[in-house]
Amino acid sequence: MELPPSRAASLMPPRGTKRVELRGVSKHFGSGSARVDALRDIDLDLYGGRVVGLLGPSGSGKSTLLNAIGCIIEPSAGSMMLDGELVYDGGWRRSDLRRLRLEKIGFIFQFHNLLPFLTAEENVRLVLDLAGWPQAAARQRVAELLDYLQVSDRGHAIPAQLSGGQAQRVAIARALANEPRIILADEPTAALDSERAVIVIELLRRVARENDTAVIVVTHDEKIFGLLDQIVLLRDGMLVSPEATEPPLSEAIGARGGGAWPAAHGGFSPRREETR
Amino acid sequence: MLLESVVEKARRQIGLFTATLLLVSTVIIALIVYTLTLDKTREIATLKLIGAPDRTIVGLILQQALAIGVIGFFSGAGLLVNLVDVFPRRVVLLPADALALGGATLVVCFVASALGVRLALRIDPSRALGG
Repeated sequence: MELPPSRAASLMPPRGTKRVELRGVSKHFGSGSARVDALRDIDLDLYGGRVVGLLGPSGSGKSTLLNAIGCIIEPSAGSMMLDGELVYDGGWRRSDLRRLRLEKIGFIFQFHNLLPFLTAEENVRLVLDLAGWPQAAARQRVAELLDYLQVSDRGHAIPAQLSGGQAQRVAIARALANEPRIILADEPTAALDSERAVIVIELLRRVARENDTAVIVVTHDEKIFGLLDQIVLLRDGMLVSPEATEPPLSEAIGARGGGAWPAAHGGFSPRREETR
Repeated sequence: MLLESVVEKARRQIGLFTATLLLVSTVIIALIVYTLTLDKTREIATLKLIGAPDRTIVGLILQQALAIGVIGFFSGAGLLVNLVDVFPRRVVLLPADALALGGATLVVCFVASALGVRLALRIDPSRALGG
């Protein structure tokens, strides 16, 4: 029997392979009196097979953490392993970060970010071309992905001809193209209505389970909270609740806009030691 | 001797006009390419984020500049060929001159794309994220 989303979310799926391992990751901007600590001593393990929600009020460090895991910004301290490879340890361990992203990480955006002058097929194909896939294999992979995401009939359409939900599915296909083990999604449902938002998250859950992929979703979208397998709460750059399996949804909803967050979380205390 | 002096003077004047026009064209194409690149900030950031190397980004900007140059050159050449008889003065059109102008157009496009290329290479991939 299929479980309703809220019930299903309370059952943590089995751990897959460890895909992200952060140890003591910090990030600050500026110096002296202008110094801002965006991330403070973050210890976090994320596993394949799960969709993890990264929640917190504005300025809590969600985007900075997403950018750090995505190798877009360099942490100030700590170490970071992605899919078993040490990529940061007081400095980048790889010189070509774009190649690293191409090999290990898929990105999903709030507004799909498909290239407007390419068709859906070409948008997905682009990643495979960049990764150097042979033409025949790339063609087959694109066809499989569009079929998997049920947009194979829209392959020749340009993004402007796609609905919001279709465009986001094509964007997910692009994120999956090079078989990444980590998917970073930045507010992937913010531009979708409730029904489509649920479909997209269910799709990401399926992707996570079937491919042993760690899917990390930054969101303020309360309609998908119940669908997340794990919630990581951030406040003032620190982890508040990295291991929660049943998210404190009513309080997380208070994250919207950021203003209500500190009061709503007055009872929380950082539990960093629990993640070590 | 007098004739040679007049021809030489006319040649210099035309050369000066040509150089001025090429300079103006370079500035105009540079501004157009820069604006087009600015319009594509999110797309370029997305490309960088998903792993596109710099040469792909530079290639896109150069293609854009070349497209402008090619369209401009052939439009200009078409107008010239069709309107040459409208002008009272005799104009000698030599294929070698057209080729040289084509070459100059290519150089202008490459030079003009430098501003756009510089902008594109400075775009932070994180610009692809967020609303």
